[in-house]
Amino acid sequence: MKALLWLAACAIFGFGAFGGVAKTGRQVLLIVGGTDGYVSPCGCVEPMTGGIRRRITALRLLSVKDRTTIVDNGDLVGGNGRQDEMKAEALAECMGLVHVDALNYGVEEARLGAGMADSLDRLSGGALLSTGLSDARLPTKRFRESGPFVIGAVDGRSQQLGRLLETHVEDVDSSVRSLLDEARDSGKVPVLLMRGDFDQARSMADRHPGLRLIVCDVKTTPPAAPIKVGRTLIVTPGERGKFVVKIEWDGTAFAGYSSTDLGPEFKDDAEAQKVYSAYLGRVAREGLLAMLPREPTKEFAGSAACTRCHKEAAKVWEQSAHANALSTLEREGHEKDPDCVSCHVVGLSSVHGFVSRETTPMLADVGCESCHGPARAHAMRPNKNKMAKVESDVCTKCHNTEHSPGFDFKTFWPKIAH
Amino acid sequence: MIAALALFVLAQTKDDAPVSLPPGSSEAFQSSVFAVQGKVDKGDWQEAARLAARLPRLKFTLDWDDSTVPERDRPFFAKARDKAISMWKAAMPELQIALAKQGDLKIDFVKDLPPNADSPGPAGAVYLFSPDPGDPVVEGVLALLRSENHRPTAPLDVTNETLFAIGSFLGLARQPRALSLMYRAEDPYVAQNVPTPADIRLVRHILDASDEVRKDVKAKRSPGAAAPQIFVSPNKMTPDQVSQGMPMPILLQITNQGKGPLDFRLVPDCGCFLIGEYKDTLAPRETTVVPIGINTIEFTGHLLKTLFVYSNDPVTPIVQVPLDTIVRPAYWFKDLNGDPALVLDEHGGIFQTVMVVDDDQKWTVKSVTASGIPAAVEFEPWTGDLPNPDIGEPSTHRRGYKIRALIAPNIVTGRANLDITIHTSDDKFPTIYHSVLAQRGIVAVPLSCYFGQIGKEKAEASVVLTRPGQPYKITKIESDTDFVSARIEPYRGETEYKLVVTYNGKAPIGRFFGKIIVHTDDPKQPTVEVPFEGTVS
Repeated sequence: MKALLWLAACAIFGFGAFGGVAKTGRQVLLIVGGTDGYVSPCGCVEPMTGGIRRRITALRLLSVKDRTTIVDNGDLVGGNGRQDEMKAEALAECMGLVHVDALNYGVEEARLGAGMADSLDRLSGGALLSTGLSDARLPTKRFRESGPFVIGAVDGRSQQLGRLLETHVEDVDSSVRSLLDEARDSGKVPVLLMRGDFDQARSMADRHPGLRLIVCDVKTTPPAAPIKVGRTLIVTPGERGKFVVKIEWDGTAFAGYSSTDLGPEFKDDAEAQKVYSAYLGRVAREGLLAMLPREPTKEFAGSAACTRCHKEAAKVWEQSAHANALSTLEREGHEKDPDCVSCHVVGLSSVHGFVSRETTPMLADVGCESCHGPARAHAMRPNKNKMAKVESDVCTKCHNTEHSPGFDFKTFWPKIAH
Repeated sequence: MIAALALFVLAQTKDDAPVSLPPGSSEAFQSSVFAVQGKVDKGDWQEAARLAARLPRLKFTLDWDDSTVPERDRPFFAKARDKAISMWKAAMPELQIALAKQGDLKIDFVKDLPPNADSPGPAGAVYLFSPDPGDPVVEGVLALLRSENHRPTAPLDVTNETLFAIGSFLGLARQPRALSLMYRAEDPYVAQNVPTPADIRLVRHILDASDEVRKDVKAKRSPGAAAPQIFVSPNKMTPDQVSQGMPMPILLQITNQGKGPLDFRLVPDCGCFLIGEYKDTLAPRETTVVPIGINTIEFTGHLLKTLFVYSNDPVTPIVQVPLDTIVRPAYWFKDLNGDPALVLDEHGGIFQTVMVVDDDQKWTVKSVTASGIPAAVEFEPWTGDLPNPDIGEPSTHRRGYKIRALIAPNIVTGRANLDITIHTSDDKFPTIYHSVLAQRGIVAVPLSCYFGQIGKEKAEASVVLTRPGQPYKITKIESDTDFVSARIEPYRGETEYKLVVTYNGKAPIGRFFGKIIVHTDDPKQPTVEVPFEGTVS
């Protein structure tokens, strides 16, 4: 009876039955990428997902000693400013903590400047990979072997990559042919990291059926199952560094695909936390917040000026999370982070707006003027300078779907109704 | 006579609303209810009553068999179990759970479990359901070693598995969302699962349904339990592409093709779904249409997302409806120079970019300003042929604005952002920002030499000193600390050099920092300072 029930339970929960194929000796391939500068989960509504510290925890948990290959398909950051440099270095260093085997060096990384390649390669433990690049100045490797795999990496925008680095980059088909030759000579399984979408990956699989796995770069949730084109599987680590994809090689084929959503159940890895803290320290010390562009606007008065007359509204505000919005960042160490501060203070993009808690304390936190706009003129002569009515869309500038998933005006307005 | 009797039985069933089996209840629970209904349909009231007695209830016993657990671990596991029971009782005070042999729910342990289909590693636990009177209703078998690394089961694992076991007895289904009460992992858990008010509401719904079935059976009435069957149309959303900010309405039709009431809820995997109000309970043969919009203001490009429909259809409790569409960006930039940085000379520099505006956008540019570094900006309407690789569009005729920024020669040495602000006549996109990195003189790439977390061993890091198109020579290098030195290596002719910074392993534990001073033959920029930093741990 129990055996039957066991089978029933297997059907319900997807367990394999006793006596199945022994699964020892499988090589686990863990795939990340598409971070696009999202080094940390951020948001007003839980649970937010992603972040490099959780990623490292997950990679450690999913790793099997001596039988794990870790690859990062790159797209570390979205820009090429100073904060992007720091983020890229922190990401590479974190991936170095888990001995990443390959990190795809593509256009987004090259845009940081050729000089950054050395730093990324060193911090990641020598993982930088670009099959089409063979410039002695650059530290990138063409292939990387790990376990049963030989790994190559390409960016579909090879011409742009070459232009940025002022060097020759061979076309992707030539690179893939080289990878397949390398796989044939070494007797290993060819795995391609590719910056390109599903359509480009499908086309690549059609052109090079010898590839066994293509990791592509799609801004989506990883699909429930890999895409199959002939013998080639196509997977993606998804968008914004929110996922870890796992697939296994059992000696003859890939199996055991899963995608792990980096939710809050993954505690921050202690080593990654040190790297992340160092990153935040660098951002703060270099004063990147002060370098943000500012526009001329009307002048702000500060919430204290508003509360002198609008006493009832002030009571509501004081009880709200808005009144402590900057403290929330300070607790997390993000109070100097240009990525975060604008939604936690008044007027960061204005020449008259928030500078720091010390110099502009009246503009710290989300205050009246965060939503209602600059009010100094109104505070000076209320009857002459009426404030314009604001609509609900003012909320969604910060409570957008990225930072505040699940935000619903009807539900949240009562919390601050005034 | 028989027809009259049948009508009488039908009337008995129809007078009372049929038992509602809520979404989120487990298939095991739903199967148990249908098993009761099956016995009722056959007139076997005694067996129906016996099966109904095994449905979830507030008061039950837990048989805790830790005889295979190493003696030293038993007190810790018992404490972990008690923690789970306390958490359940705190969330649902009316719950009565007592420890007893031959309990309704049993938890025992084995050394390890075989692999499952979800992951390569061994199962962390397995749950067995039985209708037999001699068996517990649910038996949770917990492995003492978890994952391929054979990590010993920890109290956190025991607490989470006990929470799950109790939830299973109470009819809850396994949930994929981590941290939730009914989330299960085969590997060691990394966080404490917690019951939420939604879980408890669902349990109460299940308990009500169970009590209703028992009451009906006792009164020899049919519970009227029948399975709903969900049908979702379309099964894939492929709306035509639109321009950013334009509406993208979709209608999703949901039909209950079964015989029992259908409860469902829609859960998207992306904030881009805007789901309108909908009727979440459908009678048999009833249909509803759910209006769905896509937020095309914040989400552009190729959208590949999924809408999940969770329901109490026991056969298809989750239906995935993929969305595959393209939102064309309202505007995008094609920089004509300055990628990755605009190198300035003694006359300053000119940055040129084209802002391509989608044909369906009717707004115009009112003004353009620059900030960050001193620059004068001008703009003019533009037309031309360009591809848009971001959405896979080939070269085609497009319109927009050409923007030129004349950058003054007197900006400070180094790299700085030129931030261009474009003011438009549109409410949705009133202000558009675009930046370019401007470089004057010799700069280090990256700007500082970052060693990261290092030990007490010697380490090297490097930057590239660059001034494209303007040759210079390096005459001397100095370090401002004893434990860091530097050397120059050739990189690209006389415009780029590699500065290799060597740490000798002798800095005290903690953060170290300083700077390398590079002397050049350029009288306008005789020195370049390159900061370095790292942490010795």
